[in-house]
Amino acid sequence: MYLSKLKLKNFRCFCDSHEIELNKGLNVLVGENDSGKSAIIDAIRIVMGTTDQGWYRIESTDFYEERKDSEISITLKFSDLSCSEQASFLECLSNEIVDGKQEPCLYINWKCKYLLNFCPPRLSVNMTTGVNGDGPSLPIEARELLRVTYLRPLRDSYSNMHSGRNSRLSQIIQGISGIGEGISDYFAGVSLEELSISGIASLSNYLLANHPKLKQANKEISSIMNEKMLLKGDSVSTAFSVAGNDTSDNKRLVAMLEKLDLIAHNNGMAGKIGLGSSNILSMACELLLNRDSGSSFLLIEEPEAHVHAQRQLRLIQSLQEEAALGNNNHQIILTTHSPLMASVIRLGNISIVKSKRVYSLREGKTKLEADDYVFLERYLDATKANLFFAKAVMMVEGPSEELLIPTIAKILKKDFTEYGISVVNVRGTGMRRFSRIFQRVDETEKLDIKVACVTDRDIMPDCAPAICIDEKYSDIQKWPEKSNRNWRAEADLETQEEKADYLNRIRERADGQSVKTYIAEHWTFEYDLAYAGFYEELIDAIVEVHYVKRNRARKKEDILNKYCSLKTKEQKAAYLYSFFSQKGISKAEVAQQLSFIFEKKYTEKSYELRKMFPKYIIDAIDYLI
Amino acid sequence: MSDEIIRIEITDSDIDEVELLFGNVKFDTQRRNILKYMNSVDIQAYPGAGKTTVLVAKLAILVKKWPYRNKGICVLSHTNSARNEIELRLGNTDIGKSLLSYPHFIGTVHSFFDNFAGSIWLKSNNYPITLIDDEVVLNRRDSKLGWGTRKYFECKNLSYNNCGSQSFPVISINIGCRNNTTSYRDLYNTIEQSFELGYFTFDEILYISKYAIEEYEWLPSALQERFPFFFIDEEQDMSKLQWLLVKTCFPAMSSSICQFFGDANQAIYNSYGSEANNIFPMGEPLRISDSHRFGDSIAKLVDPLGIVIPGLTGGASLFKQLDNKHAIFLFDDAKDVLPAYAEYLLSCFSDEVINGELPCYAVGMVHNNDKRQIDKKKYPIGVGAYYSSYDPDVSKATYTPRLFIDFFYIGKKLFNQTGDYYSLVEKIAEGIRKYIRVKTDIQISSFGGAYYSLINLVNDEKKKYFRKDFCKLLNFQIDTKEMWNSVVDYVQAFMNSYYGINSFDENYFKWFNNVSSSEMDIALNHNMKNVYIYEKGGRKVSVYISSIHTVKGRTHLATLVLDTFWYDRNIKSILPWLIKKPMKKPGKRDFARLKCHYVALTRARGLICIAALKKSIANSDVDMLKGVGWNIIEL
Repeated sequence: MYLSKLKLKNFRCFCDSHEIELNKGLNVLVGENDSGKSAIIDAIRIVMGTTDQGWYRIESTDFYEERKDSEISITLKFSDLSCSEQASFLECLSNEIVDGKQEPCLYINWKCKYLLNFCPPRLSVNMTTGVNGDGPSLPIEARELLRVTYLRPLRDSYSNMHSGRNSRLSQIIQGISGIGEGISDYFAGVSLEELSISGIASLSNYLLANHPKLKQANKEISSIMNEKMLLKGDSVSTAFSVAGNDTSDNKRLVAMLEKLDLIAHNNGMAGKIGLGSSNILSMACELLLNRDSGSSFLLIEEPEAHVHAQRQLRLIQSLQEEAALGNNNHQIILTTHSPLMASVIRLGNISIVKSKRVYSLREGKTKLEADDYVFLERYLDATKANLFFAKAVMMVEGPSEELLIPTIAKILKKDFTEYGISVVNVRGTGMRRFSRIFQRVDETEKLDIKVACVTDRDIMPDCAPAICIDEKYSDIQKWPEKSNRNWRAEADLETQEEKADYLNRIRERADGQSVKTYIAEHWTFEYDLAYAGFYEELIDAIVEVHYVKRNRARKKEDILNKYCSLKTKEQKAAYLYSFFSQKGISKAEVAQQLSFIFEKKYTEKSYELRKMFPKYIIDAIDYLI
Repeated sequence: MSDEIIRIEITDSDIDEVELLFGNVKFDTQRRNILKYMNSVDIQAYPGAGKTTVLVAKLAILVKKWPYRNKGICVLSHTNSARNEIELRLGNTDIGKSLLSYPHFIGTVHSFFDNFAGSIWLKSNNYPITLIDDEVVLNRRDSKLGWGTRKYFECKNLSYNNCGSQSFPVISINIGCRNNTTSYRDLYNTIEQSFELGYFTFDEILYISKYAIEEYEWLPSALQERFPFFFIDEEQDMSKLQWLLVKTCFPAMSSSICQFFGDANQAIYNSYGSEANNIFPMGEPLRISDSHRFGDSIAKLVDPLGIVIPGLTGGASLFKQLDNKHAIFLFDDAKDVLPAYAEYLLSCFSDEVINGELPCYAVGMVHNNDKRQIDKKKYPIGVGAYYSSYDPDVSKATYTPRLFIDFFYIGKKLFNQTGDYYSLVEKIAEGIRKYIRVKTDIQISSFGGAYYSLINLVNDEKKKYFRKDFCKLLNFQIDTKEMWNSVVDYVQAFMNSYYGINSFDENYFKWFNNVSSSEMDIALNHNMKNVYIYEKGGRKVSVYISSIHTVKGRTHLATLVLDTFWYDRNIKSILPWLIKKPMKKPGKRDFARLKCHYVALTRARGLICIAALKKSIANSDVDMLKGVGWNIIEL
């Protein structure tokens, strides 16, 4: 059994009835703050109840916009019930046809509203079953099967593992099967190994009552009483008895378990372990409890708290394994803000929570094909996983854009960091696949994350092959056959239609829904920069990167002279680009230099920069902000 | 939760404990063996053998040892016998409480399939479930029929009882006309609309359940998983359809332990007028034979009627002195019978016994007053011939009040007994709810109590006033017709202001004087209307009059079986068995008569009597009757 669907209405930030689908096994909810992740987790634990028997008090802030006249409605749907679960929930089940098969499922409808005719208004909670909520209410014993283990964010995991009345540790250990086995009442002759845990308590009581010192004391009390205080002939005997020895096995067991502390030895050293380790330790304990029952539900908010990077990776791996364990009966729902964690989770297990909506990334929900999932899972690293947490995303194909565009945006008073925009460098090939992460099969559930894909046009001016590849190409006739070369020039596209067609094909790769493609007007980012007139900045950067300090002034003059000698704008720009294509100067390093230069030169002149800068970049920035 | 089947063992010490718990019960070896038996089996129990007590004892032990949290014991019965016995014996104990709640199920066959199949199907297919009931639902449909159909019904002597469907999901009806006639279409559409609004009869729920079980392959295995123990009480009274449903869900090979308790000799509900029920017992049954109810003298007289499985034996009798008093009254005029019987009772029992816990009864196989058959040759046809003010509706097993004032009477009575206003409120609310259900199109919930469903129809602001206005209703006196009229005015105004009902069917609200019912035993749905009271010389005896079907499972002090007419004189027809000269090939109807009279004659602890029409019994037969031990009294 697993929680397959969740519907929220008037709960916290969820106003209209919104349906959220969940996976079997692992579900990772990612998204920016206040997107509704915790509301989802809370809704689940309020309705299902938690294994620590914690009580959630509904507050007026739980109502959408604190409207006291509205009714919170939370509907949970459970699918894939085992035969014994069908039996347990029998009178409450509904039937649905799934892939042509009749399948039982369980709906739980939880409603809560204020009774306004009381002053102050009282809360009224009501829970029913059935698709339409017209079924019987859930019996208490059946509800127990639904309890979730809930690990709150930034919880005090120290105290969880500590001894004390009703300690979490004792609750967990009580849940282990066979914990009560063994002989529970000690009597002389029982071997100590055979004792159960409550038997140990019984033994200790026995030893206490029979301790020689106590026996002696008892004897003395008796003799004082009998010899000095009573009349001759009266005979009263006394004995010590241990309080609580007649309590039930179970109570004794609990009392014993409540004495337990869980202490971790860090590499052999006893003592207080760090916050991060104790966080992981407490999760390990909860997993132990979970493993023991039929279906289980585990809700974890921000498991990455206090945990360093490598352990985060290990942790998420084991949670992933745990979720796949057994007959897929373990459902784990967690929220995270860690791009690192997100980067190692299988894409299909991720759901993006964005403006009170949830977008599952599982196959069939996004426009990604099966092979895209394989590809993306391999190439998704922490920097790229940023995109799950962004308000908007700019995808670029190279390091120059990645480095320079944020600077430009900042100068234009559209600081990406301030606006929560991620720039993701997908390198040469991934644009199509990455952009589809954000495209939904169901167009009506359009994902509200704007994505701007910035890409090169990759058509050289006709003069460029000679300048940037080989001088002999100055004669077009000497160009190799179109099919034998991996570059294209303007001359290859003869008509306007052909050109438009070419652009359309680039756009089609990524465009759609909130994803928009922005194509360089001419060739590449650097070429277009030069073409737009930023030759001075480019030359400065190239010189700075490529030459040692003493040569720089001379080299700059040389380049400038050569640049000015060229006739056309195209030739000039192509000449500057040849530094990257011919001389192998690092685009990234130049871009970094350019950032400094632009920042220095244009911070006070954003208007000029906007007017001059390649339009497709400006458009892309404007689309996002 | 573990999936493996845990064997539960019942030991003698468990049984000793339950004897202590019950107080006045001792289980002998035969009964102990049944208690300990842990495989599927049928159990033949003779009348008065205390089979329900054995069953409830077994349940009490099982529940005490019950290892599962989410699997339970299921106990089904035709009437609510098991549930009543549990409430009686274990009512306020922890065992009783847990037995009556999740994960166990104790109830009727109908409610079982409703809960675990029918409702699941209906909910999954977006049908509302407004009400499941025969009388209300059928009456409702009847009142929706067009004028033409109504005429046709009158003509063909059809009634609201013909407004149900005999199958599902295809509606099938049997009113003797083809499916293209207007009347047929009218009824068909009425039933269809009634379904859509969520009104179903008990049988329709069974048909829906059958369909659900066929369609949902997962359902039977889930049922077996949920109920490792499955008991049926009064198994012999299950209909073919019910039996088929049970067998589909719990086939012979299922892992659940199925134990069916019944008495083949007492199968009267379905064999009455239909073919004999051969489904119980299957294979060689375990037996609970000797009766705790009566002694050997009664067992010997009645056993010849138990033709399916003979072997009835008596137990220790408290009324040994009456062993030779069992009597047959031969009469010419049915009016003489009850006074003679009452007189005879006074002569047999002391005042202390006759006014004690156990009632005296006069019962007949036929009790409906069929006005069309006033046929001298068939006299006396039914119970009414013996007692003219007999009301057959009152003694129906599922008696519900017909008039609004009845609800008031019962409510007031309960209130006086318990002092809880709750019962009065609930009864009045039931009366109002019944009217809304039958006579209006307002959708009223059937969940929870009647008052709850009434107040839930009212919006939140009005609820406060609703409570106040309803509260006033509780203080009305209804001793005179004038008083009652003011109640009616108030109630109608009330229903108008909260539910917008404008016109009322005054028949429902009419005045009916029921003051004589001061000793009415509400729990058993008796009504003083059907009690004959005989007084003589300062002594008094009350004789309760009813059909045989109603008294099934009950214990009397004395029973008189009245001669009635069903295709033939009933007593005359069973005479060959009474005189121990059975017919070799009994007719189908004879089976029905024998079982029915077997039931009637096995109710009494002390005394059994029969009233027979004098001219229907030959003189030679009278001697034979004397010969087997009957006392003959000619009136």
